[in-house]
Amino acid sequence: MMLRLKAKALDFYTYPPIGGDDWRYGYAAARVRALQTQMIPKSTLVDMANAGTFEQAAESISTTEYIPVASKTLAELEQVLIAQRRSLREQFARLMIDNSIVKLFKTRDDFANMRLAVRRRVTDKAIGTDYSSQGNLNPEIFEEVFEQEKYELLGEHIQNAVEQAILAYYTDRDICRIDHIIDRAQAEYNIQTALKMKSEFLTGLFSIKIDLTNIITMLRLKFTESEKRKVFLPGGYIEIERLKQAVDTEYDSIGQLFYATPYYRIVSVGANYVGTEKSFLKAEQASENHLSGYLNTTSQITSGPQPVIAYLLQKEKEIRTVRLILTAKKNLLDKKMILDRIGE
Amino acid sequence: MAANVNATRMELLRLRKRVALASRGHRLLSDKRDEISRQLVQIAKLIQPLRKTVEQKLLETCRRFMLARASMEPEDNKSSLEIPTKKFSLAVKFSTIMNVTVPQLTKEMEGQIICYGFATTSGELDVALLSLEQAFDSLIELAEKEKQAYLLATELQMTRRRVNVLEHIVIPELKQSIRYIFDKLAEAERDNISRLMKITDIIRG
Amino acid sequence: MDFGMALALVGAGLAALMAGIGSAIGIGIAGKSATGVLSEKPERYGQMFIMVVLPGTQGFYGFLAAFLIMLKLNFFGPEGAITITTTLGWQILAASLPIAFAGLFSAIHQGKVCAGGILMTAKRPEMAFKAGVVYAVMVEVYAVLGLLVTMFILLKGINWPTPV
Repeated sequence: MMLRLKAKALDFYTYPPIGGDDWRYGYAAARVRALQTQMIPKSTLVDMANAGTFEQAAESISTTEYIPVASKTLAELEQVLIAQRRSLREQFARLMIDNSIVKLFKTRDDFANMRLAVRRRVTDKAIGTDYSSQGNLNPEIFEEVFEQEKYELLGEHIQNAVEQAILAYYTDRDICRIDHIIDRAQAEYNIQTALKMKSEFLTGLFSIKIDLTNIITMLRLKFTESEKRKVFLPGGYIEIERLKQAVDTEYDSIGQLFYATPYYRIVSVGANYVGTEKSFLKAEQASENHLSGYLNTTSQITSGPQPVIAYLLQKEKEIRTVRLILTAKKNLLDKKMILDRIGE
Repeated sequence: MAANVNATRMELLRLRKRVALASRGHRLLSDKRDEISRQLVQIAKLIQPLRKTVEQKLLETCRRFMLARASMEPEDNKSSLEIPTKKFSLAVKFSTIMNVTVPQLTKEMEGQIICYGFATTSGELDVALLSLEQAFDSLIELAEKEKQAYLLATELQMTRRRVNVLEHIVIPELKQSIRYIFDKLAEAERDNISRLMKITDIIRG
Repeated sequence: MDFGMALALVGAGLAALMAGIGSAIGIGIAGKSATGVLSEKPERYGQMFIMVVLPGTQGFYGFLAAFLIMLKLNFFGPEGAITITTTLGWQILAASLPIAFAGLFSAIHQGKVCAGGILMTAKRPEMAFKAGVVYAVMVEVYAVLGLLVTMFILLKGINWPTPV
């Protein structure tokens, strides 16, 4: 499975190009721009993190659409945020004119469902129906698909992923292999689809995501002293050899390996934090910031799918951040921990 | 007790034997008490730091886990921990410390604790699970030690009560009875002598 | 009706048509963006109105040029349309081209600039006039220049025959 990419890491300074305008998206892009102004600004998030109690933190966002989160238990909070994410995705589907892009982003949930379903299949558990219903595939068919092995009902790309994952599990007897195979299939599918759509922005987006995932994976492999090396995803701008080399390098000098890439800061800050604090908070924060930076470049686009996609991803991140802060506040976690984690 | 003692020489001899036995018992028991409390202090010394590390590790696990959970999408949370791969088995053996039967736990762990891929999970989950894994090691040890300490403490309490009973009740009472019998016998002796003297007087007179 | 007249009418038609198409596309682009922002922030209507109508001016210029040609051809006079030579016809067609093409392209691009301005207004309302409108007006300048050239040619450059 060869992946062909237009740009290499040296062809751009920090962020890959995002492509041009598409004038069909005038309404969507403008609407999204207005919606972006209603997102929670960084200063409010910092206030929330610094708030003394859960109630005070919830109070900070009481003027936004997150009103119902105040004075709730964590389980209810979770439900509120899931509902919010659902309505966000519905809005995204309405604003997107190209249905293929909507489908592409819904596939995330399909792959997530597959991770669960394949696990249950190989350990002979009941397949069940408690899956995310926001994918392209209806979770109700899973029982039939997995019990009668009619994987062709899942569509070609998922069928391949599932079959390979099951095979890999039986070869290595390792649950992790399922995830590795599906992660890889998902990354490949994303890049291939983006290339097929000739979307510079999506190609760049998925490549950056793959790179960031690979970098964090590299740090995690190093931290857990794992011997696994086949887990890096193909399709990023960074060569996998470099990542493999980085796993065997000291924390202080990992950054040097990435000096020529746009990820130098992420790697060096992240690696140092892992080395000293035994935690990935900074690495995750830095990589989220990098992705946000790329998404923010879409504000150059007056009209096009790019700002709409960027809005979806930024808003999803915002929902995660709100959940993170409120959970942390409810459990009386350290302020520093929260501040080290939340991005820009 | 002194009231219903048969003031006989037989009884006196028996009581003397009992006193000797009781004081030997007392000496042995108080030795045992000292030894148990020494052992207990030793174990307690181990428990305290162990408990601290376990609590800290568990707290750390909880925190990291909360952070990981909150920063991941709900469906990824679900699948990542659906099938655990770490196998854990626990065996109990018994050994004795100072004649107290205490459990000794041996654990067997196999498999990796990390049972998910990397793309959709947070690194904090790794931190949480690794720290849980370490916490488990100490947790088992802590459980074993705490149970031992508990059993020893119960034994110590019992021994101490026995020592006290011997020291403050049994031995003094026995001694009192001996004295009583001794007095009683001496009295009877004197009684007898004076009676005999009286009789000799009468016979002579 | 000879070939000269046909050319003159093609000129008038082109001026109105091309500039009109440009304006329609330009307003379409700006309008879509404006409705997008307004659906979330209806209070910005006033600031956006001017940016939506700006690309519409080119259509007017085209219409003005076409009207001027018709006036000069004396369509509305009691004597009826004048007869013109083929050369004059070519001249009139040439005169109409600046506004036709300047109108077409400037309106579309002005529409895009306005859309950009509208998006900026969503985030920074205080910049709406300073940047949004001013930049759009800069594009407008070239449509105006086109119109001026058309007018100069029509009024000064062409030797109109007097109606009989």
